[in-house]
Amino acid sequence: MKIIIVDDSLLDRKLLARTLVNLGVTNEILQADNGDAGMSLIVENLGDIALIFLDYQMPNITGVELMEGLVKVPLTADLPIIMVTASASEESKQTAYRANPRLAGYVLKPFKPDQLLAAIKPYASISS
Amino acid sequence: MVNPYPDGLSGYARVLAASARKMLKIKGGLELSRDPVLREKEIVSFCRHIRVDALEKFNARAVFSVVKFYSNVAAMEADTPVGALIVFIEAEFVAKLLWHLEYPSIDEDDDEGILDGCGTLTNLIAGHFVKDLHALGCVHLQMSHFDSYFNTVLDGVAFAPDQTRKYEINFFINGEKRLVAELTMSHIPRIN
Repeated sequence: MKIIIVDDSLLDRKLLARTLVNLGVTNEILQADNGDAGMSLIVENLGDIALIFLDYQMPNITGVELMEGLVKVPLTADLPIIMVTASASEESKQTAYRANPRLAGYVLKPFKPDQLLAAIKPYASISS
Repeated sequence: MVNPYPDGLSGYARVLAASARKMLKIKGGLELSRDPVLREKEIVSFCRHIRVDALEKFNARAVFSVVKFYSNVAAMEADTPVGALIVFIEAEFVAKLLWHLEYPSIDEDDDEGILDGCGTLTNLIAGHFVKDLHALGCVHLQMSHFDSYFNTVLDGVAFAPDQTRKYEINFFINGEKRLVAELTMSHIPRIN
């Protein structure tokens, strides 16, 4: 099962991927730098996705817009999604949960590894 | 928390200076070698866009990134910003700054990496700024994604149309000016 990271910041993608590996995550990690590429990755890997990380603020298609698209389609509606954002706005958080009431997590940048671990535990394969 | 800063651009600029300083210290262990230097300046604009030129900030190739702020989600969807933050960094210093902040390393010759790195730092500063403003009683501002450029942006940067002034904040590390932030901001509504 794969983990998909969709974030326009290459550094944030690298940092997140490195942190996941350091936490012992053994899933294959795929990355996309925008919403369109993220959607393509998700479609290509349907049935083999453990978890998706979506950046909130992205150009063209935001993380919330991408998530709204996924939630509307029965095949992708139940995919576990963790929203990642630099903004601690309560309104943003509520918008994300309105778009997807089953959102698996809402993580603030810069994230702490232990916070991330708590959020991914139910979905990722983690070596002890 | 009691707000020690006045409402208005000068107060917001002082919050930004304190937020960025705190972020650099806590996340990167970086102490500024002197207090940030704040200067109020007139906005030079055309067609309601601020003219931005990084070469005015440093005597070397520079990169800058822009994050816009909105008073709520509807304003963000309509792209009517209440303010904008522009962060300028000397291009060759981006990799060093990221290293201090424990980000994955980038090559000093990697232009895409430098643009992305400056944007990531700007996003981080903007996030801390918004959080600190909120702690001081302002509504939680929405943030745009970042856009990054080398030296200048021909189209300029959109800003709140009621603004005529901006603040320039200079940050000094090891005695050298290493980071410059520019802020324009209309009045931010307070939490009731």
